[in-house]
Amino acid sequence: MRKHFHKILFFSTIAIMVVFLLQTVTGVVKLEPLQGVTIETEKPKLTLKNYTDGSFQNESENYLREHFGFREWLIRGYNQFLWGCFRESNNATVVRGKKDWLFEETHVRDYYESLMYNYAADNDEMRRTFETEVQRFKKVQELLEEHNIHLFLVIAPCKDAIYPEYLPKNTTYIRPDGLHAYDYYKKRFDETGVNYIDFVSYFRSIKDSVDYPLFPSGGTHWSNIASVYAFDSILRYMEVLGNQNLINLDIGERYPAETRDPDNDLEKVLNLAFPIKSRPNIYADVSIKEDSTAERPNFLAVGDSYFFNIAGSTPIWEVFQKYLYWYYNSTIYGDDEHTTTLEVDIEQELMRPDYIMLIYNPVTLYEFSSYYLPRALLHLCYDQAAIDSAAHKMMREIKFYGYPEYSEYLSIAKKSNRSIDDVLYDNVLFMFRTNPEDFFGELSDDQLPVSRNKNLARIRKNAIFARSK
Amino acid sequence: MVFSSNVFLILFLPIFLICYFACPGKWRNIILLLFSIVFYAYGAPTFILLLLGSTVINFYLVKLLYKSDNLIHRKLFAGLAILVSLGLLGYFKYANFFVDNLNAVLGAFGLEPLTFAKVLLPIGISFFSFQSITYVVDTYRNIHKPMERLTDYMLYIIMFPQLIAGPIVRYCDIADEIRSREQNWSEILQGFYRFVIGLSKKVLIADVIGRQVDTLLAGDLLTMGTGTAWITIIAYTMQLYFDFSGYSDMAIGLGKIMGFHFPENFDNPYNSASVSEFWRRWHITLGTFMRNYLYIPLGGNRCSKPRMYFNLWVVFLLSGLWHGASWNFVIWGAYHGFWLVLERIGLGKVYEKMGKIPSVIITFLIVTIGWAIFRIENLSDAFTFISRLFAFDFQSIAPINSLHFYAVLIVAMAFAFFSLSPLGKRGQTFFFYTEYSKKQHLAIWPVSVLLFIFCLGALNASGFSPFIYFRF
Repeated sequence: MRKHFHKILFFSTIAIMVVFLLQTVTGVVKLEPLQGVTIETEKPKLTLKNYTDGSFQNESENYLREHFGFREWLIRGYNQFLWGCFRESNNATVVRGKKDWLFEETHVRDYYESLMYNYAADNDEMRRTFETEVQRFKKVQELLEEHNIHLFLVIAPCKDAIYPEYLPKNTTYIRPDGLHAYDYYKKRFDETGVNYIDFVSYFRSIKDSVDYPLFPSGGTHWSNIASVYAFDSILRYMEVLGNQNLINLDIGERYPAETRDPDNDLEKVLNLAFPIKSRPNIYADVSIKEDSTAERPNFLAVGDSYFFNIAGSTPIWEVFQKYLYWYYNSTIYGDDEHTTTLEVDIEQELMRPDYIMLIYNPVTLYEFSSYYLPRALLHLCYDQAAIDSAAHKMMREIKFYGYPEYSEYLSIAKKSNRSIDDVLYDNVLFMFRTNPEDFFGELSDDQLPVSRNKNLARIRKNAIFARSK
Repeated sequence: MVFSSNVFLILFLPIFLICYFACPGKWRNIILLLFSIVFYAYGAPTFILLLLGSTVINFYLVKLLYKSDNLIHRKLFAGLAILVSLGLLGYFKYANFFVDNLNAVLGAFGLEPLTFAKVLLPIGISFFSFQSITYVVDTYRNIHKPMERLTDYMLYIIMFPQLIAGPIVRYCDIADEIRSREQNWSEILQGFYRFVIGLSKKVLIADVIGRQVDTLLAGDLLTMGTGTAWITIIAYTMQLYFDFSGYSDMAIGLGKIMGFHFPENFDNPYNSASVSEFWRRWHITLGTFMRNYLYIPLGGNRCSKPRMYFNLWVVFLLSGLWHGASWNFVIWGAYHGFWLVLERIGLGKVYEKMGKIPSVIITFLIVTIGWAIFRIENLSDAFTFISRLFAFDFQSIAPINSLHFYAVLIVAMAFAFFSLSPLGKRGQTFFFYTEYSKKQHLAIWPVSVLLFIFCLGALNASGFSPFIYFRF
């Protein structure tokens, strides 16, 4: 043994390396996965081309980075070292504020600089964009009211706006003079009569008087308990809007408990080895008050992740007959048939709910329209035949007037083995659905458009009939 | 493939070590050669044949040189072999630079520019070209016999630990070990420790500092505050040292694991009391190469003073150009040449009178400012940056909110100047140049293994920033 002392140590070293290698190849030891969303690298396939141009090597390194053995432990260990020694987050999307409060980097940036400046060259351009969104909302709201469907916007509070005292000191950002979406929209919504609830102002007003946290220190969204009370307020607002008696929530006694999902969503994506510290939160059990006279309408929520807290903390499925959540107007939650909004029959989906709630916080408010409203506006005014006719006219123009995009469409068609007309049609439809005002003159007027999609009344009638069964 | 990559650390290295140590001694050179070919072919697949081809040509040219008694023939074969190495280096490394500059001149005279497809640079060409020159010259000067077997010569040129970033190992220093070397298990272990030290220098220090340096230099140099500029350049000074010396440590460590003794490449360069001393401590193997294969053939010190100063300038201009085909490297070389000549003229005596510490500080500042020219390729930007170092504008604050960065920078500086103290010297001698007792191995081995694992974590955690929720 003594004779082979050095050999034993060296071959133990190799053995340790081999353990990593074996775990990389087999993944035999199951470890708690790292938290958060990443875009995973596909396992690269070796070809002569990608080998000689070096892309295979780059992709292999990236793939291995995501799949090497015991990665979960090693990354958590390193993150813990950074947090423990320097109180630093290794996740660029999470920033540590005062007293270990965590914030999303975009929220810190929005507070100190305003994210709006990424999206518009100057205030005038921004004001025009904002105004288009306001007008569009108002038109869609009125068009839906014709079918007794109530559209409203919830401005959810964001952590930086409610608890700026916990933000890290700003040494990086410079706020230029200009508009912030929240300020502009709030003023214009009041002036134009857009339906909305502003939880930012409300949360600011109650912040010092409530005995529960409006935001958890380790999460980015309103706390579970705050979202429950917010949802209760939303229901009361809907009652007034629709002149209906809706189900009431029965919110039990508040009690302290260990932090639950998603109140620690920011802390989770720090991927530390140990929790930052035990930070009990306040929770309440929520049920519904039985009321045989209460209506159970259909409900659609479109917006950012603030709705996850409501859906996770309340018996929402008992409040509504059917509810759907179109996350950023893209991924659908609550629908067994469809997973993305591109798949749905938009006319059916416009007429199915009785209430449509858009929910955005000040940081994401600039995109509250998020393709939902322009698409809704288009289909509320025109049926598919009218849209197709305009699309074919547009396609002919692109072809015959030599639009610069045409060669790009040709190349896409060739690559995807589709006909040029198919590619053109999809792209024209996309343009219509994102900026219909640019292609249908009356939609850009200040007045409510005259055209109506005649199919919708029948679809709505069927939807109400189906619900009553 | 670089040492601080997952492919190397998780796949290549353990598989290589298993194969290497599982084979009987006589097969080990072949295993090492095969893995070295895989190593190079993985990173530069289109150049492997070029590398092997040039190696074969040089091997036979040197064989002819060795066999010949005729001085003219010997010179001819040596010249041809050097021409092959320098020709490849010149074409692949400097053709683009030459054509770009020629076109600039043609453009200035209103002439049509030359059309020229950009040449890609084979990795490691600066190192293996110089090694092949040492092979030719050492044989020509009868310092050492040439290799008998082509595979042994190939191994000398292509051996993966020192293939792409040095150290530049002179043929005469390693020829005997290629033929036969002893296996000392204590030294093999120390090779692993040295590898881990190098990996830590690269991953835990250089990369951490480097990320901030990149961010700082991507900002507006014109408005950069003086404090920020100094933090940036001192950080880069440390980044470069820990990156390069870390890589050399890894190479030396891997060499030791296989029984090779590569020369040291760094010896606390920032503790130098003059620029001349700096060049005896920084990238030592390049300095040695330049001295033995360029400065001395040019006449070295044994000539008139003006000629000696000229020789020094030429050597440093070419040293600068060796680092990269760009004017900033040439000017960086000239900058160092200027200080060297100045030291020979009289500055060196001033340093002696000033004493060690003031001389070290002044030399450090000279070297540090030189790194600005080295790092910032655009010369106008480089001079703007240097002007900000002396703008005395302390209004703007450094936009670095990372305690980690500052802590690592302080640690880096502490290590860089560690050996100025007697305690530091003793520590360095112990860590790098002492054979450890069993007790010492028992203490150092687990630390090294943990550090290796920690480096794996750091290497992969640094780019891992998952989002909270998926959008679209």
